[in-house]
Amino acid sequence: MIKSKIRKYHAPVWDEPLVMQMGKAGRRGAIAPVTEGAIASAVGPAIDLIPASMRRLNVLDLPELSEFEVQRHYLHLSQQTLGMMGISLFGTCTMKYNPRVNERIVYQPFVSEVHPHQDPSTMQGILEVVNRFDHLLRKLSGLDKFVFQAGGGADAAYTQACITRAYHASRGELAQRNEIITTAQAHPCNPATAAAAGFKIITLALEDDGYPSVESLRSVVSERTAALMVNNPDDIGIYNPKIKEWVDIVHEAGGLCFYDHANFNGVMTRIRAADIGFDACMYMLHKTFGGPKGGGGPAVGAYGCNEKLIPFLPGPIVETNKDGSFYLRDSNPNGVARIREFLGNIPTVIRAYSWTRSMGIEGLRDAANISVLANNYMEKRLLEIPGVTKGMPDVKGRRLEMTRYSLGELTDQTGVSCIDIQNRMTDFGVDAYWLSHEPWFIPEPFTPEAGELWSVEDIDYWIDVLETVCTEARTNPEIVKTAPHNQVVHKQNSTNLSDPQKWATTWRAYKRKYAVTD
Amino acid sequence: MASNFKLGLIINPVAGMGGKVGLHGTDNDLAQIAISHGAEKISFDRAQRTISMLVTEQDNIDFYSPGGVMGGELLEMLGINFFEIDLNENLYFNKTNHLHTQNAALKMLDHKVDVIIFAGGDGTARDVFTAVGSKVPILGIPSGVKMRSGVFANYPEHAAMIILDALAAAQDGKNFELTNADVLDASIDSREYSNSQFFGSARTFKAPNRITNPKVNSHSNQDVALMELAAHLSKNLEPDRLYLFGPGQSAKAILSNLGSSFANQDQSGVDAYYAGEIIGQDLSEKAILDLLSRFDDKRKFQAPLLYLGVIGGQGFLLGRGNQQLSYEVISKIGVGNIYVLANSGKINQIVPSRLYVDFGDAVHFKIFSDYIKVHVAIDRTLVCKVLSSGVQSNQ
Repeated sequence: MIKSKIRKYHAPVWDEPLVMQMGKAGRRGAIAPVTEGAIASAVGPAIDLIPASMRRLNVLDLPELSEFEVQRHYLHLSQQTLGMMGISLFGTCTMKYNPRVNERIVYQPFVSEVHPHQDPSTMQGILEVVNRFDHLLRKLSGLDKFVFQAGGGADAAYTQACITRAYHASRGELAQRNEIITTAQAHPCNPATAAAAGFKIITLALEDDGYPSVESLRSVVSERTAALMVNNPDDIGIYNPKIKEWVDIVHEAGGLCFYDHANFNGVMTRIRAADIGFDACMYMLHKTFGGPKGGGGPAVGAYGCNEKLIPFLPGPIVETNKDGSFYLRDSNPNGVARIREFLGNIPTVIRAYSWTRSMGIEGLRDAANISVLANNYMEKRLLEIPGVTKGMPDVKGRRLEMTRYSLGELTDQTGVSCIDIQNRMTDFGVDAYWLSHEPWFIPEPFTPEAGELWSVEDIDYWIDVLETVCTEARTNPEIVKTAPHNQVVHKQNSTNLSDPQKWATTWRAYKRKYAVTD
Repeated sequence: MASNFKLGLIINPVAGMGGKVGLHGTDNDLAQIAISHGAEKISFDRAQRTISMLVTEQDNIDFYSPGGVMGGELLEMLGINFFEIDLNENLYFNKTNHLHTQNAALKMLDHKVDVIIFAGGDGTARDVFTAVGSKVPILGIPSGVKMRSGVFANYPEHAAMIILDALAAAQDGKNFELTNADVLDASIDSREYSNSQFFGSARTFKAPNRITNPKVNSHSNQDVALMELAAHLSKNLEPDRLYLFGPGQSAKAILSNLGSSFANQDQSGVDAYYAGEIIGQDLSEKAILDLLSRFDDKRKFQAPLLYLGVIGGQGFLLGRGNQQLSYEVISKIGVGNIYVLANSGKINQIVPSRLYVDFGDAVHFKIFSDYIKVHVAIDRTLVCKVLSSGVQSNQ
C-alpha cells in the first residue's frame, strides 16, 4: 500500500544544441589588447615568440561565442547531468552521502597540490593518514597490513591474484598450483582477475541453501589449488555460514583465501576476515567507507593481508622510522609489481579515514545494524507488491544488507521488463536501481540496498514509486515501456550505437554522416 | 464429502523406444523400425514407477484410462480400479497412434478430469495438448526420446510427488498452483534436438524443482568462449584415442573445427572419431558398445573420451535426446573419461545447480559422483551438482 504522496517531478530539459552549432562569426569571449608600442619594440612582434614550425597556418575551426553564452551553455548541461541527489538504492554499491567536510579537506592545497615526486619528508601528514588508516583497518579486519594502491575493488582482487602467484612462486609451487576457486555469486572481478593473472578458474554453482555446498568445494580442492576468492554475503544478500570450514579446507590443501569484502556494510564490526581465517581481504573505500564513487571521484580498493603475504605487497609502502616519522619503501624484494602508479588515489583514503574516525567503532556497528534492519523493512514491503518475488525464494532466513528480487512474474503477466520499470522509476525523481551482475540467475532482477543513510521516509517513497510503476505496468504498460518521459532525455534509439554509418563520436564525423553544414 | 481427485492416465506404449537404437523418436512409422531393431519397451515401466507411488491413495483418486497397453493393463496389474475410456477398439502394443492419444484425452475432458498424466515424449505431449489445449493441466512422465516441452517431470517419481502434493492441496480445499508451459517438438525442417518448434502453451503444475524446464534453442545464444574452447579442443585430439561426440551443438562444435569436411555434421546423434576420420555417425547403443570393444586394447589405445553437452535450459546430461549413451555405454567409457562442455549462460540459468542423469530405470544411478565439472571456456569450469534417477530423485 502506498504510504507517501507521489510528487510531481520533471528533470530540467534544455534541448541544448551542440556547442559547435552555437554562436556567430566574430563573436568573442575576451579580446586581447593590441600590444603597446613600448613592449612591441622591446620584444618584437608577439607572433615571433612562437617558433615557425609550431605556428598554426589556418584559423581554428571553433565556435565563436561570448563568455556569457559559454557559461550558460555549460550550466545547462550541468543541470541536466549533475547533482545525483535522488533517492539511490543502488545495490552492491552501498550508495552513501559524501560529507562535504571531507570534500573540503581534500580540496585543501596540502592534499590537492601534493606532487607524487615530492620528497616524503615534505608530505609527512599524508603518509601519517595512510599509516593511521592502515592501523584502523587492521583493527576492523584482524589482518596485519593494508595498502591503498588499487584503484577500485577489481584492482584489489587483481592485487590478490598477483600476490597468489608471487607467494606460490616463492615456494616453488606455482607450476603445480594453477587453479583458483570462486563461486557463481562472487563478484565477476574475482574470476576475471584470477584469469588475467594466468590461473585456471573453477566456479562453484549455487545450491539449495543459496551458496555452494562444502561438498562441492571438497570435490575440487587439491594440490593444484592456489587460492579461494569469495564474497560473503554475496550480491543476493545470502551469508554462507560455513565459510570458516571453507577456509580450513582450502588452507589444508595449501591454498590462500581471499575475502572480497565488497558487501562489508552489513557485517562491519560483526566479523573480521582474519578471525575466519582469511589471509587477505579487500574493502571499497569509495562505497562502504563514505568516499564518492562513479562520476563523483576515483575509487580505492583497500587491500589487506596477514604476515604471511606482507613480503609480496606492491610498493611503495609507507613505513615508520624509529623517530616516528614516515618513509616510503620503494618495493618488496619478492613483491609484485605496482598495481597502479604511486600511492593510488590518496584523496579518497583521506576521505575514508575522516569518515571512519567520525563514525567511531560504535557508529560503524550502528551503521551495520541499520543497513540490515533497513533491508528487512524493505523486504517486507516489497514482497507485498504483486509481481515482486524474492530471488531464490526457497532459501529461508533473512538476507543481510541487500536482497535480490525478481520482477519475472510481472514481466510474464504484463510484458514489462525490469529495465522498463527502472526507466520509469526515474520519471519520479528517484535514481535507477541496480539490476544484477552477470550472469543473471534470477529472471528480471533488481537489487536495492538502503545502507544506513536513507531515512525510512526515503525508503518508503522509493518503494511507493516502485509500487506505482508496477501498477502502471498492469494498467498502462505502454507508459512504462516507453519511459522515461520526465527525464532529460527520452529513450534513445540505441541502434545508432552499433551502426558505423550512424555513429558519430566527433563533430567532423557527425557533419559527414548527417550532411550537416555549418 | 468433496468429490475425489480425478486423474486421467494415457500411456503411449511405443514412446522412447527409438532412443537407444539411435532413431531420435518413434513418431509415425519409426516405432516399427525401432521394434525391428530390437528396441525395448520403456513407457510401461516408467509409468509404473509413477503410478505405483499412488496406489496407497487409490481411495482418494478416481483413475480414468484407456484399456490395455494405453493404461488399463498397468492399473489392473497394480490392483487399481479405474473408469475405462472406451476408444471403441482393441488397443494392441504396436497398433496405437497419435489419434488414440488425442481421442483418449478428448474423452477425459468430458469426464472433467483434474489432470491428465501421460507417459511419452514430446510427440505424446503434443497430441494431448492438441486435444485439450489449456483446459486441463497436463503432466508428462518422461518416457520419450525427446522431452523439450515444459510439462515433463524430471523423473517418474517426481510426477507422482507432484500428484501427491496436488491431492493434498485439494483435500485441504486449496488449489495447487498452475503455470503455463511451452509445448515443443521437433521443428518441421530439422529433427535435431537443438532445434524445436513451439506448438502452444499448456497448463501444468508449478513445481520448478520437479518439472524440467522447456528446452532453449541454442542458436539464440552464441557463446564465443565456448566456440574458442571447441577450437582449442579440436587442435588437441590425439591420434591413438577414440573420441565420441554426444548430440548437440557444443560437442559437435569441436568436430566442425576440424575442417570443412567435418562441418555441417548432423547434430542429433552420437558420432565417433579416430585418427583424423569420422568412423561412425549417428550410432546406436549397440554400435557404440561394439566400437568401445574395438578400442579396448590399452597397449594400443588411450582410453576413449566422450565429449558431452548439456541440454540447454533443461539441465539434462544424459537421458534426454541421447539415450544411446546408456548406463552400459557410460560405465564402459568411465565417468572420468567424460568431458562435459556447455554454454555458461545456459548452465547458469539452472539455480539451484542441478544436472540430471536418467538412465531410464531406478536401478542404475550410482555411477556419477555428486559434482561434475562443466567446461565453459578455456581454463574455466563450473562445478555443478548431479542428480541421478534413483535414490536421489526422491529429493
